[in-house]
Amino acid sequence: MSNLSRRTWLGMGAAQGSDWVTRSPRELIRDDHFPDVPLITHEGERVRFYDDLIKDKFVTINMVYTSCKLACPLVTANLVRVQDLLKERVGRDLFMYSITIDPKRDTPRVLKRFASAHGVGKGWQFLTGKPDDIEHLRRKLGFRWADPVRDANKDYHTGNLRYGNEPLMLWGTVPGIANPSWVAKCILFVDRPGSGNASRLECCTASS
Amino acid sequence: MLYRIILIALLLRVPAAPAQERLTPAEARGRLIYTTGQSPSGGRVSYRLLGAGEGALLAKGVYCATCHGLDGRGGREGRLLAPDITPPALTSAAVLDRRNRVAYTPTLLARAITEGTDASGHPLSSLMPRWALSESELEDLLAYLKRLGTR
Repeated sequence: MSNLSRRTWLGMGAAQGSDWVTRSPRELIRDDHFPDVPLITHEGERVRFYDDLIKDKFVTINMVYTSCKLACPLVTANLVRVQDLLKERVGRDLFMYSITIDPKRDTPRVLKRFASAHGVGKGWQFLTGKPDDIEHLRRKLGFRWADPVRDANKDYHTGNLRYGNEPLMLWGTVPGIANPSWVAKCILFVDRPGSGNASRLECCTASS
Repeated sequence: MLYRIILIALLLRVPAAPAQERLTPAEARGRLIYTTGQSPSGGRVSYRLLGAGEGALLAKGVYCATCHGLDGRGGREGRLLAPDITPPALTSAAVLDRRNRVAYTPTLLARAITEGTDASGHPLSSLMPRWALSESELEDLLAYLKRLGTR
């Protein structure tokens, strides 16, 4: 190995498909976590997860299902307050996505009814798709348990919210039920530097 | 075939169901709160969620029946439990999540709904909303809770 030139070694890496040689960090994150699966919004629009929803965007992602009795309604109600705190930015340069983990039951129409029952505003989309695609997406997004028995039971779904800034490669997670001003503040920490200072301050000082 | 059996079973169940007594006006108002989160005086009732700060949330998409079901029998979701709140369950002592609680009285039940404290004085799950109800809304709801599971 020691007598190989750096270039030769890099070339070998490329030939073998070593990730860090052939793909940028941004591409690595994309390939590992954001499969470009086809989805349908609660408005009936057909979209691609990466190309249309994630790429170049500042987003929040969580997973729900409408027949969920305990956690999802409360998480959704709390996120409505988060959406209120983030104001007009949601739908303008910040997008919220709730993906169903029960795509067989949660058709776009069912999701639309759920969203309107909760008073969800614009810029927040509920998404469904083919069961295999949704399952693939759930695993890639990391909304899963290490224990396979628990993971197979959707009653154990996590109530977490992922948020991130795709071009900046900044990602984080907060509990869906937490003080909404704190959740909003966490989300704004991955905002473009300088762009959200005003709203960041507003959220910090907003009463919950 | 399976559907046909289910259908027949459902049809057979209907005459077997107990005759429904009509709800009193208070009970009917209580049912509105229980099944929709709407206040009989217009608008929606509101609640606080522990762990989500002090702010009040309007009962949109979240109301009693969301978790406890239209029949009040509740259910389990992973580690989370929405207890059975039908009268037979509440008026007897129980062990829930390895904790004993004594039987509820109407006063204790009102406290559980508004303050989130069970009959024995222990805090209820943080997922149980602490309901901000007016005196009349609370009376109506308590009246309807007595009828849960009997219809």
